[in-house]
Amino acid sequence: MSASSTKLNIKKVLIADDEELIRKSLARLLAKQGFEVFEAEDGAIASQVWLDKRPDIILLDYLMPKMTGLEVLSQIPENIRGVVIVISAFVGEKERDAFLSKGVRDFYKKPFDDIFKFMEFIKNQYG
Amino acid sequence: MPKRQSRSFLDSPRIVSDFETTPYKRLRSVFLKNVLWVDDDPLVLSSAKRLLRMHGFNIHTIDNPLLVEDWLAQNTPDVIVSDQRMPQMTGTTLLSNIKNKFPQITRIMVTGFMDQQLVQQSINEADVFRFITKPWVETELLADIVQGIEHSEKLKSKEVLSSQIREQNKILQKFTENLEEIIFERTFELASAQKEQAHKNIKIKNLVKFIQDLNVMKETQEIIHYFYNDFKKEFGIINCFFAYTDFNLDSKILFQLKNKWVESKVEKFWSAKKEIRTFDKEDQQYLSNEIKMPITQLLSVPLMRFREDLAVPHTLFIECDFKQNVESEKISAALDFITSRLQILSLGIERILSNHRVEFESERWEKTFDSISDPLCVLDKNYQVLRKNSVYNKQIREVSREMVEKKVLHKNSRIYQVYLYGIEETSAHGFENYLCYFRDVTEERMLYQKLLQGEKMVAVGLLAGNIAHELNNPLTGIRSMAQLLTHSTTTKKAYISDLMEIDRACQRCQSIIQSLIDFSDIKEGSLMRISLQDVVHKTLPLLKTALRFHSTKILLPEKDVFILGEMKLLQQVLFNLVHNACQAMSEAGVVTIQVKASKKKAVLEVSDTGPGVSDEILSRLFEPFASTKKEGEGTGLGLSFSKNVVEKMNGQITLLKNSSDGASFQIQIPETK
Repeated sequence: MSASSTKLNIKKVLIADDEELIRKSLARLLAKQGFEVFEAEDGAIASQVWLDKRPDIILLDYLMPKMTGLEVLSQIPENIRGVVIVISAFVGEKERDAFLSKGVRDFYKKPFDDIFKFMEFIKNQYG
Repeated sequence: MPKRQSRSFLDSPRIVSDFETTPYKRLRSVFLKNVLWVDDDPLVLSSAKRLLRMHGFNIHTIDNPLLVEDWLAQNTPDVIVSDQRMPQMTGTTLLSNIKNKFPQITRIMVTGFMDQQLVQQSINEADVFRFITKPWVETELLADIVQGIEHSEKLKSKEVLSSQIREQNKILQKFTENLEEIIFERTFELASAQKEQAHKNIKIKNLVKFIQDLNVMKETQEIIHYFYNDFKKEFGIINCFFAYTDFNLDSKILFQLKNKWVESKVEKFWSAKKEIRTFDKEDQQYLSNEIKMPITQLLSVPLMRFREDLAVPHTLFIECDFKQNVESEKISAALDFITSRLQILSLGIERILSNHRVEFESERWEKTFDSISDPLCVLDKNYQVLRKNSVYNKQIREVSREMVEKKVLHKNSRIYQVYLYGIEETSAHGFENYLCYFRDVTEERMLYQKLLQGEKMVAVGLLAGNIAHELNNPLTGIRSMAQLLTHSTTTKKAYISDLMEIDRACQRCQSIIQSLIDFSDIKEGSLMRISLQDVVHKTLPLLKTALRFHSTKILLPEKDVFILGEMKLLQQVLFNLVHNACQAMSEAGVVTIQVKASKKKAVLEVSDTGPGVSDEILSRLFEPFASTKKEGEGTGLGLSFSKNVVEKMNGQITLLKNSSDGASFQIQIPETK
């Protein structure tokens, strides 16, 4: 089946955010775009899924229960990190520098006004 | 008398017989008695000599009667025997002479011719004791002589007795005289002693009176006046000065001026000299300078001091009119007078001065007690009020055990905290009395409430920030969902506009939340270049609620006015000012917010159309809690906070206009390009 070959091309996305509606809406949209989507509702799960599924793209919230996005990131070996987009309401200078030092290039401010625009942003980066 | 003599003469034989019966007895008694025999016949004399010597008599013979007196001047015979007929003079004459000159010598006459006439004459003239006739009978002669001697002795002893009596009489008389004198003296002494005693009694009485009178006197000047009068009565006095130091250590002089007692404050302090001084030149000079009159003859009397705690010397000066040298006795009497009264006087004055001091002190304490602006009272163990101050009378009026135990009293919409302090502790029963102190804590409580409110606001602010963050996430989710559904092909077209409505509502929510986040997130930041217009724009959304009853005029210049400041803090300041303005206007009014640049100053003004700031608050407008707001309306910290913020940005905040039709606050901050 072409399914498996397409599967090989299918990018895996991990959505780590404690807000269920955000996860669900993003997941639905990304799935429609052909991404394979994994969800994590807290830092611990995010870390586990990340290590298990080795997603290509990770949408990482900063403030999450159990672990912050930064703590999660620091548990992931560099070679399997994938592309990380930090989505957060507020990231301080310190945290920003910490993320940057770990190779994170993209930050997307939450709350985002338009989910489609966010999707455009993701596709533009990794589509 | 002569008859009797003659009869005794005729009776003589009886005596002779008596002599014969006891010759030796009688002889012995006449032994060595002196007999003078006068006769011109030497034969008579020699026979008489022989006879009398033989019988133990001492006999002296004289043949010339003229020599008798001379001899008698040297000798005192007991008996004289004389012959009658002698050529120089008769025996009668001789014996009569002798009788007159030496009456104690018994006289015997010897005669050859005894006749009645001679006998009579001799007895009468010479008081002759016996007559002996010649020739004599020896025994008769001896008996006569012995009798004569006895007679003479009788006479002698009589004489001795009488002279003794005379002497005694004399002594007696003298004694009597002395006695009178003594009695007179004694009487005089007694009288003068009585007088003296009376005088002394009067003195003592006066002293006692002095003590008694002094004891009831209330003023020093009374005492001095009293002493003055006493002294004046006795010694005369011109003036009297009393120099003393009162409890404030002020030196004063009390003296009489035109019959009135005057007190004046002086510089001089009389040191504690002990002795009374007369005519002290230094004092005289000083006092006469004080009263502007010459003073002479001054007695300086330092009063005694009994209590060490009142150890300030007092001196009494008495100006007298003694003539100095002439009346030194009077001076010493005056000094005695003073000395006797000095102790009493000193005690009296000390008593009064210490009374004054006690009165003054207690009055001061009373005043102090009364002037304490918190209510105070002194209670006994049974909560009976013993003393109270005037504020207590006005505000508290009664006290009870419950009140004290509850420690808080609500009265006339004031709140008092009640404190109890024990006083006069006695070991047996603890405290006898208590001081009850009511502290008005109404203002304090209000401030505390406001402070609590303020803290609540801060907490609410923090909470609002957190909540805002929490709300943002689900809102984002809602919006995303709405957007997804809007673009979903399966969504009915009729729902699309509703979904878009949801999206917009969420967006509004988010923008309010953002403002709230920004507003509540007060962190000390650095000064940034910001524009006042921006401040206004960012703050206005938060004031929507406050401004909903009022209209708003926003006057902003097109060109941004920049300052170096902190956005969030300035937002707070503007928020406060507008909020205050809105609250100041009880009816719908206009709030004007204006930004302008003037003389390198960036100006932000907030004006209202309210009634203006009351005088009551005006003076402490920018102080914390100077609020007109009721509890729950605000913290009362707004303006003081604003002042702090503006001054931090090198600016100032002033009440630009304050009238009955509105108030206007102005903030000036240096403009930056």
